Amino acid sequence: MSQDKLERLRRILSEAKEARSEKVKAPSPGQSQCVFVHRFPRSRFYGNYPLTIPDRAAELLNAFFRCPPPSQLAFLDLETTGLSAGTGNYVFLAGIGRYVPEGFAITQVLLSDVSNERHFLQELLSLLAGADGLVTYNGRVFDWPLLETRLRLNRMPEPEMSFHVDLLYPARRLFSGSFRSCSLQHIEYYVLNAMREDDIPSHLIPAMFWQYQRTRDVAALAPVLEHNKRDVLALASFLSALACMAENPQAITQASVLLGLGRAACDSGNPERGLPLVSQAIEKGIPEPHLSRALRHLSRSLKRAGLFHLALQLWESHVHPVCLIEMAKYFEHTLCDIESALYCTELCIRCFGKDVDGTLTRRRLRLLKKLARSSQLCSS
Amino acid sequence: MTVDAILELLKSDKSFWNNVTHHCVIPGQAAVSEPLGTRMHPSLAGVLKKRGIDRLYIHQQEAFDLAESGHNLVVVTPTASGKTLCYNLPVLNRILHDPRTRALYIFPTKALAYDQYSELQELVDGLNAQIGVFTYDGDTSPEVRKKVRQAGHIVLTNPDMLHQAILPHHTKWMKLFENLQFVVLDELHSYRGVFGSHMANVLRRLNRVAAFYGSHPVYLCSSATIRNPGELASMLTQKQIRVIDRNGAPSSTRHFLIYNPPVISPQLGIRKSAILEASRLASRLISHDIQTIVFARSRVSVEILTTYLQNASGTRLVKGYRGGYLPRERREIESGLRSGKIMGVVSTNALELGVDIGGLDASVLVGYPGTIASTWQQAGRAGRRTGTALTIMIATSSPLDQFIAANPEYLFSASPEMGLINPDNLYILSSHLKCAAFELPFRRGENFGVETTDAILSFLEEQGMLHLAGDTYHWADQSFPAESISLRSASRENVVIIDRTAGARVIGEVDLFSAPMLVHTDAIYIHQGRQYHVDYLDYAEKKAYVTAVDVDYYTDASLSVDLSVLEEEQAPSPPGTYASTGELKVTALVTMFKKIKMYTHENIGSGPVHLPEQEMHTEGFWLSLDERTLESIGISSVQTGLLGISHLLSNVATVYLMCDPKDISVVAQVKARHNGLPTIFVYDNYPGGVGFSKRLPAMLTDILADCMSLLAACPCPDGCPGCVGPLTQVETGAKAHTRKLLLTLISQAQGGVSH
Repeated sequence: MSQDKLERLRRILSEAKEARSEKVKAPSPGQSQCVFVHRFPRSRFYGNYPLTIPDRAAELLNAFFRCPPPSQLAFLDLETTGLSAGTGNYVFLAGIGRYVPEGFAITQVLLSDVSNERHFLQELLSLLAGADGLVTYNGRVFDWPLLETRLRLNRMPEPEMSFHVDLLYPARRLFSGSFRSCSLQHIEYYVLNAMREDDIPSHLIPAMFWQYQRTRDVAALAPVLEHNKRDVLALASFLSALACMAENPQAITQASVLLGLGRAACDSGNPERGLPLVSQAIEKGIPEPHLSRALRHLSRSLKRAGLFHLALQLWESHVHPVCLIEMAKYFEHTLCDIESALYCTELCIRCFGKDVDGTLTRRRLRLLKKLARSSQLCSS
Repeated sequence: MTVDAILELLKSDKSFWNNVTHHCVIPGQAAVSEPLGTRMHPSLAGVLKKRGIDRLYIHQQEAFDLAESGHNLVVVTPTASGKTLCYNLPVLNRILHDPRTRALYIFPTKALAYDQYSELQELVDGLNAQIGVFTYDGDTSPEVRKKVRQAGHIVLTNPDMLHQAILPHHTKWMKLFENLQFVVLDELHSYRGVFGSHMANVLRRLNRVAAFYGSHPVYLCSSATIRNPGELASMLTQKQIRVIDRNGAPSSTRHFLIYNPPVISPQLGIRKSAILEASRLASRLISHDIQTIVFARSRVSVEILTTYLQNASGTRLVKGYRGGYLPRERREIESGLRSGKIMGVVSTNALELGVDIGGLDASVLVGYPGTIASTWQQAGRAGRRTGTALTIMIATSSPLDQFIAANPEYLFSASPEMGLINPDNLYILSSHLKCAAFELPFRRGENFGVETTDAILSFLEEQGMLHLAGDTYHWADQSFPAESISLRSASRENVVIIDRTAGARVIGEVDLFSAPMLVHTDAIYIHQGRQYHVDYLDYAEKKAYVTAVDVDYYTDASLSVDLSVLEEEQAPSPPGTYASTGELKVTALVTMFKKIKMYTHENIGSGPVHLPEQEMHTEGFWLSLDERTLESIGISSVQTGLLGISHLLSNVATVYLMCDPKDISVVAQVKARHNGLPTIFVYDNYPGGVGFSKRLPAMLTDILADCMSLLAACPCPDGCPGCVGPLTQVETGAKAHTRKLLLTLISQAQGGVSH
């Protein structure tokens, strides 16, 4: 049996053991919320990736995605009665994932009585206590503002979080070139390689909650609880997938993913890590117009950070009109080296034709004029 | 040329002056003012003094004092009387004394909010204090929105934004609502009818949300002259209101002329076209450098007049202005008018409201605007602080216009219309109850303006929209209710108009309900005086593709309307008739269009229109003749008589109901589908009804009598547009048949009312 198959077998066995997840508090009438706890050992995988992150990868996550140390993280996913933002949309189920010494734990809080939202929110806040960074999927736009709305309506203080890692953004950065939509379901299927069977369609969820409010039959909510739990598992697994990629970028075969990873590092203030990946990606082949867009974007962020030496390194290592024009600008405006600027411009015209960028001809004429007026031009 | 000089010129022109049926001079008045009081913050007084204001008009002072002492108020003074200071001064004064103070300004349109923003910002700039003034509308970018919510002392918005963006997200506006001390409602009179009924409910919601945050704002309103400003304001705001109507502002002398175009065909009762007469008159004024505004009744006539005037005015700039133009285009026109660069503008009632275009020299009203209040608003667009202002109303051949031309005292002595609203219209009320429940849960027994709140809530619960837990109703639907409720018209959707002459460019928009009439395939759509041919109306995608053309005709679509009775309730009626009120289903279908030649207005062709039917449920009133009456008058008399009466009725009823002519429709059927009898239907032009036609049974006798006197006073031999309808559209003897039928109805009504 190959190493690979052994690994998979081990995983399946551990999953079977995990099926006995623990229910801590049973719902009883008059109680405003129910809490369900699920614990997972370190060895547990979701799809192709483990739920926990090795210590050595933590630093990489910070370098690439500005993600704080795992011990401070809380994964959050909410189920709601509507899709809109606004005060009439109730949060009725929160799944909160935390790393614990033995592995990973998910705690689910259920709003058992809609007229006692305050207790539900208190429970939810207590689960977030001690966390300093939030991990969500589209939580910046949806989950977190909605939670703020619910807290304000109940006149409760909003928790302070120093970091909010919304994984939708890295997902888009890395995979928008690969598949049509970057929904969590797509990521789960294509990246994590996890399959959900019998998953309840999202649009049925609100009606099930209101049904539960009338009947108080928690058992009927089981598919919703399962759905929410899997969303949190997917979040943890995806973060772990990102850590794996950061740790071992050589294993990435798709150029666009590699480019995204490199750009993520550059944007997180680590261009010395990101730029080599960008170069590798370009060597693998990035189609236009993605390549031009990426080069322009990178040039801008490096210039803005004042990292001209790195920018120059980027421009020098690729034969591309964007790089030549960027260099021309750099020579002209920063170094006041008109001759070199003109050289870059003319080189660009010779290599790519004058129509590759609308400014080329004008730039060349301007530089020629400047050169003619010669020496005392650059005083500043 | 001055206005006085042009007036002399017009007087000496017999062909014009002979058709002037009324000329009166309304004298100007000198300012009545008081020195600035001591309650005003010194820096505010300083800014005013710097601008040369060391006294306030008495109405401004009164508003300031009342607002200071916490009274809700409405200021009722004419255009250009310094109304905005009535609310700006007390609001700024409070903010200067307590910087936590917040105020919400609501203007009926985005354009007005933008306009007031510039004026207010100028005032604030002089104050040297940290006061945030922001507009908040659909154009506000997301980054700015955040700042507005946090730092806006004064937020200027419109009812639609309040309804769809602010109230449903009130937690984001916590800072505003916790400190909300003033709500300013400008142009209060525009919140009438359906729009007003919606607005009253939006304000119920506003009050409810404010109370949740512990605020009970004071309402500062301003209104044009209507008969019942205090009543309207208190119905809208649900507060006790003090009315301020002593105007202290100076005004210029105004000449008001009513011009009735001469009859050109006595047999047909046809007068010269009011549009052509207006175009001749306005271009004459403009060519003498009299800055002129022309008000036309419909979008199409605005465009036609703009075309005519642009052609006639040479180098002097003339522009059209109406809903459907893009905001930037409108801003340019407004500033062009202020600077004097634009000499003439043709507008729908869009410019009737307080958009700042400065004072013009003359206003020309093509047709009676429908209400006395509108007439004075439109007239007031002409007039500067000094000099003379000129207003000329040109009567069209509609019965209402002819009535005014013959009885001008109606305009000058009758009190203006009432602003009527019906906030408790079930359709409107329940829509807003949904929104309110979305915003905050309802406690059982909570009163949302009506006693029946609980009943509606429990109905919504049955429908699964709400969930009752304990004594509280919670919103339990996935939808966002405010999204599907439009305050303005039946549908919030619109059709965008895309010009494909060169590339693809959006040049305007039209609401979905009007689209089949205005931008059906092969229509000529006129925008800013340019003609476009509609190549294709994609009704499903809500897009109309047009290309620029240059043709000498425009198009006019005809609408066919079918009615069915859904629910009927007997109303008191004259003997020999059955009167009912109830629910109707109205289906409207545009079947064909006519091509009308420019200038001569002759019919030069037609074409079919293939578009789906539109359907609406509404409230109506209908009157049927019983078999005996039908026999005694004779079927042919009844046939033409009914059409004649409905033509008269559609005009007279608007006067009695004090509504806009567009608010109701009148349809006559010789054999109504539900009872097989000759029937006249009057229905509210709004889904669910607003309560207009329901009020008709009580006034029926008076209305019929007035129809009779209008008919009797009309000089035409046998029917004209001014009474029973144009002769081309009715049978011979129309007038006699109509008279016979009316007399029968009136004498039966005088004989007694049966139940």
